Amino acid sequence: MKNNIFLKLILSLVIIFIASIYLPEIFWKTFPQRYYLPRIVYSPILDDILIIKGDFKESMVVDLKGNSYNTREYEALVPQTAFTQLLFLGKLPDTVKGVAFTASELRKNLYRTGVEPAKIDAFKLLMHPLIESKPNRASLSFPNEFFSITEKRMKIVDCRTNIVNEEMSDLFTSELMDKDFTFPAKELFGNPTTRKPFDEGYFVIDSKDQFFHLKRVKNKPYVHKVKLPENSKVVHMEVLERDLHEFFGYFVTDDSKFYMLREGDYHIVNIPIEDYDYKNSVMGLNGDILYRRVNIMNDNKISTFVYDRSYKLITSYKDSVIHKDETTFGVTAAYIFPFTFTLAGSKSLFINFDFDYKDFRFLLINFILVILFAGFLKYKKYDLSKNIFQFLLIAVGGIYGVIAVSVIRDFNQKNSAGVK
Amino acid sequence: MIKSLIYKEWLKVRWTLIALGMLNLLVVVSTCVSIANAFGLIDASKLYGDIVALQNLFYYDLLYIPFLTGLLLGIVQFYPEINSSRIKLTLHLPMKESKALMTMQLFGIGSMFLIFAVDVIILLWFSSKYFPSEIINGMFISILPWLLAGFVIYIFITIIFVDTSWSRRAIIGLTGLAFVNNYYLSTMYGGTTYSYSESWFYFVIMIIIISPLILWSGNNYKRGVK
Repeated sequence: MKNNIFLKLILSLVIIFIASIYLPEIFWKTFPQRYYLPRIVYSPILDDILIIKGDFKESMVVDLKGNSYNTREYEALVPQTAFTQLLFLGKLPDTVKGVAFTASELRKNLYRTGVEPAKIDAFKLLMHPLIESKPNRASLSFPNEFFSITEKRMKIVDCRTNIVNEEMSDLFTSELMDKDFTFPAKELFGNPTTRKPFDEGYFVIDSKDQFFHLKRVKNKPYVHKVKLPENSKVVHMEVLERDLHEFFGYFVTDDSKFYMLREGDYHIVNIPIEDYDYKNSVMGLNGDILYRRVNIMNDNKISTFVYDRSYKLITSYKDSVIHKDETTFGVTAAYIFPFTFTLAGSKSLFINFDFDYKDFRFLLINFILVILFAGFLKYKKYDLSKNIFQFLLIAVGGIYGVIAVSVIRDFNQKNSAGVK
Repeated sequence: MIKSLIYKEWLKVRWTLIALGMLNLLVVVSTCVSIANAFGLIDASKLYGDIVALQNLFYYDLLYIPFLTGLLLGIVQFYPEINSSRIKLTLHLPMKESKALMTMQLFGIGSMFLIFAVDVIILLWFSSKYFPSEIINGMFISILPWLLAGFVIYIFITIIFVDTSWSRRAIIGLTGLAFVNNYYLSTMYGGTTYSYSESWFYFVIMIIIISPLILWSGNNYKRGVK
């Protein structure tokens, strides 16, 4: 009999656990909620921001004074991004704000990149291709050497033979050690592809949270120790490798600050942002010939910062739409689901057990379910006092508990001797 | 007594086990052959690049094989037991019913373990001729949840088959499918090798937790609870 209670408990927990993963998931799949956040652009013609509101079906462009613009008018106001269309119409201005507008320059300066939590809390590559940064050819080619940074050294393997290239490994290892690198590496950032205009290799965090630039130049190691701002640790870096040759890339530190790393002299530029938390926010960086723009998105909120080319803040704009939890479906979910387990969340690429519960609103539904269950037992002429376990399951587990109870049953029955 | 019971189980499922073993071996060997061929046909750097940078899993064919193994083994081993209630005889053997049920289940788990161990050993040993240990470790951590899924579905099949009520079977069946799905979450985003690297241990523990639930079904069977 003791055995039986134990088994019942396991079974209930398994069912409640599974239900708390999949029922909320099915609910939100049935009633999907998407945040249509406004998009903010800066017009050099108006010298002010334009706000693009609406969803994919219908959108409108307004300025801060409330004037609205149609697509044609809008495109004329933002020649730095809408240049392809303006060129097509033959209406691209020659200069704007004293900057010459030629298609090639505009194209070179236009870029969009970003980083989100799932990119930061993601897998480290198993091995990294050691791409030659200065090949004697027009384009980059994929190397035969792949490396990993182990406890003691940089291990370079020749993929054709699967044999460690000892000579090259020693060469790179000693160069790293000369530059004060402490093994092993915590993380490496780079673009392991040859589909890029040039190669800047990798940026590596060592075991003491120091930051290094590592690449292969003419088969020799190039290592540079990057001096980080005081007391900051890099959590993620995006290496840009763009024709613009302005920056190596940008990185985010553990105190959720945002920096650009200038190409050539490794000068670090602090980009003033607010509302950013690298574990939760999605950040987008947009560049064009005149401005830089950073979007920070936290669920239903957006903060946009517009800078000039030297990253001096011009203006900022904050807005929000109704939060998922405040919609009818969100409120309903808060009542129905006592808690939620998420295994594959959107903020990490790892499978984890994220337990989430909002507040105690679910207790109301649980209470109603308990009353209904009591009514059911009365109707079936079962003894209420002998079904405490089932009552507890429903009181704590709510609708998940109801599913567990519907499987366990065993109402008011004297427990049999059971399997011995 | 346990030996005789194991022998009985063996007689019951031997051909199925051999067939499932062959199926597993076939998939593993074909994967090995394709790696060997690939190195002869394509540039090694491209192969490496696809595997490490694009997370291309060349052993993807194995994905549902352990699941299929667990599913079929569970059905073949337990369907004859409930068909015309032969399990009654098993439960009347001069040994504890719980011991008899657990022995039957452990026999299945043990057989699957052997099959999967052979899969893993062949695959990793063969791959290690072509790839360094980093890639081999990554392979193991990505294959592991697929193998565990085989055990999960097997255990749920045993629970469902021994139980007596159809409505309860339906709910436990759905729970089982949802439970198995938890072991395939990494494939949702197009095959990512390291998804379970931080949490695989809990997924092993969960199997140990659900395994004794067959006794609960056994209880229901014995008492004829509907």
